Amino acid sequence: MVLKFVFTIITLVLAQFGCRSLMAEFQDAGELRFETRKFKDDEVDRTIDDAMAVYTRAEIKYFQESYNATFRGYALADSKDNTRDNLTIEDLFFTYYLKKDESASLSAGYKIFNWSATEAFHPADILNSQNYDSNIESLDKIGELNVDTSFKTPYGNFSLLYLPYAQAPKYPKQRSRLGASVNLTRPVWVTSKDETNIQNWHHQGALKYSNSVGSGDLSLHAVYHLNTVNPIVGKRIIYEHILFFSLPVGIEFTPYYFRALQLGGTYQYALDGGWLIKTEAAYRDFLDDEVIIQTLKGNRSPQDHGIIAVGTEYGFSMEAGGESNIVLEFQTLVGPNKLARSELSVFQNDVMLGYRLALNDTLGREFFLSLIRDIERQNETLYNFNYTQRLNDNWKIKTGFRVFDAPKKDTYATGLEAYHNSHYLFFNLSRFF
Amino acid sequence: MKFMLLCLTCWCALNTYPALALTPEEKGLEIASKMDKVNSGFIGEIAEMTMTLIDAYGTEIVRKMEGKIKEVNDDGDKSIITFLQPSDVKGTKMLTWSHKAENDDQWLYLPSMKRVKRISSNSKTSSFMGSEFSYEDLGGQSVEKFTYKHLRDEKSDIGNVWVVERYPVNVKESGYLKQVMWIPEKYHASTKVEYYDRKGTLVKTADFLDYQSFQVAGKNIFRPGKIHMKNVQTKKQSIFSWDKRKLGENLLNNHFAQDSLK
Repeated sequence: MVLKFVFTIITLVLAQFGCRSLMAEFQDAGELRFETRKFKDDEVDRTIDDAMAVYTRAEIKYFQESYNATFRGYALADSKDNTRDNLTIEDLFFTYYLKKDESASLSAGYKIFNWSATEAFHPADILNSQNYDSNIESLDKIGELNVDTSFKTPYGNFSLLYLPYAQAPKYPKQRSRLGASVNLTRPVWVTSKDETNIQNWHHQGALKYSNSVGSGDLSLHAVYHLNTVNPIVGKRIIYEHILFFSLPVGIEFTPYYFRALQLGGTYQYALDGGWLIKTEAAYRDFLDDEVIIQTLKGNRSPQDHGIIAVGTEYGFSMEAGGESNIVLEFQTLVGPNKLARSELSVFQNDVMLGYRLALNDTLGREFFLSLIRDIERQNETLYNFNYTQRLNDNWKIKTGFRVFDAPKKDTYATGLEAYHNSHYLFFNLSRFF
Repeated sequence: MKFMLLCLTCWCALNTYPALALTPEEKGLEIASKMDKVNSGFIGEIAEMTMTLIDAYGTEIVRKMEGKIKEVNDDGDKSIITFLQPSDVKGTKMLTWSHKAENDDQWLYLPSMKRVKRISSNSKTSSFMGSEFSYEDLGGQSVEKFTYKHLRDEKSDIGNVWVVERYPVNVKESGYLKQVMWIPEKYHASTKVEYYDRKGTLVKTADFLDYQSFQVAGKNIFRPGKIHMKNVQTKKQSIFSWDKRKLGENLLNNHFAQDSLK
């Protein structure tokens, strides 16, 4: 807690004052946010139905002719649920330009990547681990340690990445309303069919190609890594020796992450008349799919699968200068059977409909309403509404609610069922720097 | 005989004049093409921009941006606007590849998500940051995107002024039926524009003020120091002004790519 506070103060001070004298070379930005959220009472004493947190984020960029350096990170401290407290480095990297025209570069450090094209479903956006104490359709990311070399050519941009450290996702703890009501132990990395370990240092890599041709943007990628999106949570019964007996006293849950090769890509195309077409696709080939993990639901192995998201967005202007966007997206998972699909992704066969209204006024008032509905599994819908407004040049509010309607259909919750009845209202007040 | 020859000459001259003279539409296009030619050759431009929004009661709000434009031969220019103020949009960037005839390509960089999002250029009539300027007013103004009609010439203290009406070619995507421009021959750029909505009603007027001359590769290029836009219906006003403007900058082409926005 003290460390986070110190981090917050240092970064904000740096962002605000430290760089002023060198404005030509520095860029800085920061946010101090007071967050509150109130869940629907689940009448379970163990869980915490309120959150009251302070969130701070700082970003500093330093530019020189042949290199630049970037730092970005955030800290969150919750007075009601200290298991939410976290300090996350998003970016901490140094980039050196190998050519004067900046067509070739080498960078190293922690970095957030965003390879997504669609709004709600992100099969291609695989590199960073995520913090699941955030919106499930747009999870916060954790910086990934990497060395990245990029080349811009007339035929497109190529990036080659080496990722030496497998970063584990952050899951909400047992008392959180947005979690699986269990505390997970330290993750286990399955690095071959006969080898598991708890070390995070592993060889991983990625290759990405992107190009804009006409009104379309294409990207293709190949990633070899320890997949953190489709873990298998294993169970282990813990025994205690009491007198001469070994008695079960609890169950330990451990996330297992497997080696995978992902091939995928994105494509966006702007049609005349305000329509955008977006698509993302990926195929995940698990390299150790003969490994069996014992879970609460029985024995499980990683399942190779394809995942496709397609969508369209239509934007139009309003009479008084405002702007509206309608978004329709669909994601489907192909390969495994229905049960396996539902265990692989919350959005295994879902449709998302969203509407954004930006008044484009001086207060920047904006409304966003969306629903994500499972079209394969009955009664699984996520409703989301939020409203943002500037109070002045530095202060802004965001408020809204989220409704999770997904009653459990079996003994154990699957997919969105884990969130059922975790409806909540939220109100955020932000000061930007 | 001499009289006959004189009559014949006069008759020929009178009859050939309409063939040599330009129609108002041709003259309008000729002026627009001249404007384009005179204002091209700037190579690259950088500037800090301030937009002051004034409501009907005189309350002022300030927005700040940074702009870079790279001239592209045989097509529209490439530009990046980086938003600096208000603080919540600080670091947001808009990349535009404008085209002579086709729709512009546009991307928005959202720093909070480190996401580059392709956006539709259909929302041209939307307000730009809550101001009286629309995206259409500040976007690419290539000759091919309009048809023209020369209305008249007027005299002013800086010389001859062409008054030209222009009409968007893509009527559906424009918020205007027509624009009337006052173009001094000295600047080959507008000093005043009247904007008429789709019903033909005057909705806004813009005054282009404080013209400055920039020397680029031996060529004299004029740019306004500010644009004062007044909405005659709502009485709101917005002033867009440029500071630290530099022309002739040799900007890297790689800076105007979507991957470079991050």
